[in-house]
Amino acid sequence: MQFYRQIMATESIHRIILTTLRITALTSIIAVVLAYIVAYALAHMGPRQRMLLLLCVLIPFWLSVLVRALSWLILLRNNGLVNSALLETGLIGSPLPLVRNETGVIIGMVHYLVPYAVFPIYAAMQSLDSRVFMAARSVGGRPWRVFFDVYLPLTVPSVLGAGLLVFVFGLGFFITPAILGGGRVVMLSEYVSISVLQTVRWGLAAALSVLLLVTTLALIALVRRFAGAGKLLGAAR
Amino acid sequence: MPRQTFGQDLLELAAQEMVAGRLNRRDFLSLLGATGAAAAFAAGTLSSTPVMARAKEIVIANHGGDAVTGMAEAWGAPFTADTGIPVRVDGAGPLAGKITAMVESGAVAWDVCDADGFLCGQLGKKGLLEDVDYSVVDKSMVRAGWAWPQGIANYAYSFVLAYRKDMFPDAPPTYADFFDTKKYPGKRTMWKYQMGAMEACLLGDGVPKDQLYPADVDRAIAKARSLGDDIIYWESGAASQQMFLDGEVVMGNIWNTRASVLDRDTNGDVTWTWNDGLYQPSAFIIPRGNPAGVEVQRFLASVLEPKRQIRLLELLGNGPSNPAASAMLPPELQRLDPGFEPNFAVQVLRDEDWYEQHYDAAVERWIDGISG
Repeated sequence: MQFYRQIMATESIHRIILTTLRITALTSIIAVVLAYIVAYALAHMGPRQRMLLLLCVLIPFWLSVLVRALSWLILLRNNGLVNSALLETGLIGSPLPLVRNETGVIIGMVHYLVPYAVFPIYAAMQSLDSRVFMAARSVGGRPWRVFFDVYLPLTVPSVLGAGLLVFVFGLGFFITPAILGGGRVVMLSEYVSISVLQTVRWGLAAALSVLLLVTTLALIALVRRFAGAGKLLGAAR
Repeated sequence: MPRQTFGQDLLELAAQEMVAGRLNRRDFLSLLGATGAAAAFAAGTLSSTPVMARAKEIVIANHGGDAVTGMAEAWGAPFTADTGIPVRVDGAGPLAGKITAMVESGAVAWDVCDADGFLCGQLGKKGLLEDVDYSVVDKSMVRAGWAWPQGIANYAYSFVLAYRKDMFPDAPPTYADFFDTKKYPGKRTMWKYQMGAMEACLLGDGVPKDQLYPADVDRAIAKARSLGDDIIYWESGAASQQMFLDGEVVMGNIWNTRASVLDRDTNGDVTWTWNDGLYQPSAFIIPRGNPAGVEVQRFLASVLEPKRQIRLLELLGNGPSNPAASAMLPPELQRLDPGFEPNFAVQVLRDEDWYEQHYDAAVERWIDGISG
């Protein structure tokens, strides 16, 4: 119990928890929006292009998280590819701080998590009955109205499911922030690791882990109520 | 990413050296065969399963990378030649938490662990370590104060101020310059895990060298935060080196092993000063209930022999813990050894007692303070 009191009472732990939640939430939203676009494209393109795009989604999916974080570091650092290209074309006067800060962490995490969101949404879009949209159009719905009034609501459960999946993954991130955060972005799981391995405060580490676990379970329960268990499971299959 | 320790970094550095052709591959390979280190190497680097000690065998746990082969060659091979007892090196990274878990579960796989000096007292007082038998191990072979009841210094290293030579052509920078981003624009780097960085901050804030301890952690954090976006914290030794090579930073508080390699690889464009360096011991500790039993005491004694200490300096760049070894170095190694008297004289000695009592709280405060 004393460790839970310690969590409640320690301001620095609050800050780490807030950082974790903020980064994870931002990441999830960006990842899901991007994934929706990718999934929509996947579901509505020809089979050849679909193969190609799937490959583009899958290849980074198979790469180790470490390799990806280090690649982003090389691309985004001050004299990295992105900044030198922007500098040379004269678009910016001094290098943009893209990495070794929170921006870098979010870019790295979004890149990691997008595939996890693409597949549930894509699966849901594929299982939609296209006759519904034909029906919508036949009663005079314009394409954008069909999309917003019919298509989007039908895919909302899968979007929520994907968002949850990504959020839960994101809460546990620790290699990506460690590498791309420049040492100044410390998330909860890294803090747990330090407490276990270095400072040997196992009680505190355990309490924080339980907190993380309970948060995750609560989130799952919430979305189940929100979206309906069957739909969510179906969407995430 | 778990904290990379100095020992881990050493190993990594030596592997690069061998790939670059500066370490003798043939010697290295014959040694691997002779000591059975290949298996340990594989086990240590390819999986996280600890190497279990067989009867009559000493297992060293260190932090992986190049220290696996370096310690096997400098310390394992001569010990095996003397006693016939094989020595294996497991690079699994014996952090305090792992040692605690191993001893408490009664499944101890390691005979000696490479650890920070202050861990001897910290873990020793929790009853997790065996005593060093000072009838076998000669206390006088290490610097005064570096022989603890449960552990003895095996080598030494420093956090030093590395810098771009073109920025300071005449005299090396001080830590006051390090924090003066107006006069010397550009990014700086320090270790993420408090050590060395805290001392650099305090020195930069005007604390006299002899009054660093007891350290004011909050004052150090405030100074670190004053660098704003001009500070990048390094996590691995390799990263600290790479940031200099990429021109991302102009000054850094980094390990002397990395600084000397930078100096060599850039022909002195990036170099370092021993001034205000933080000199500190690493130590060998024996987890309670180690498989090889008392045999390990003879191994500890053998490690301190000057020739073997110097061999490790040659292979990995870390300094002898035995001052006698530092005194008999050939000239080309003198510049590299943090314990060589003229180098030692301008540095600060880390206060092991302070770290023993305050390290846990300090590193946590530090991480909290520099993040967010």
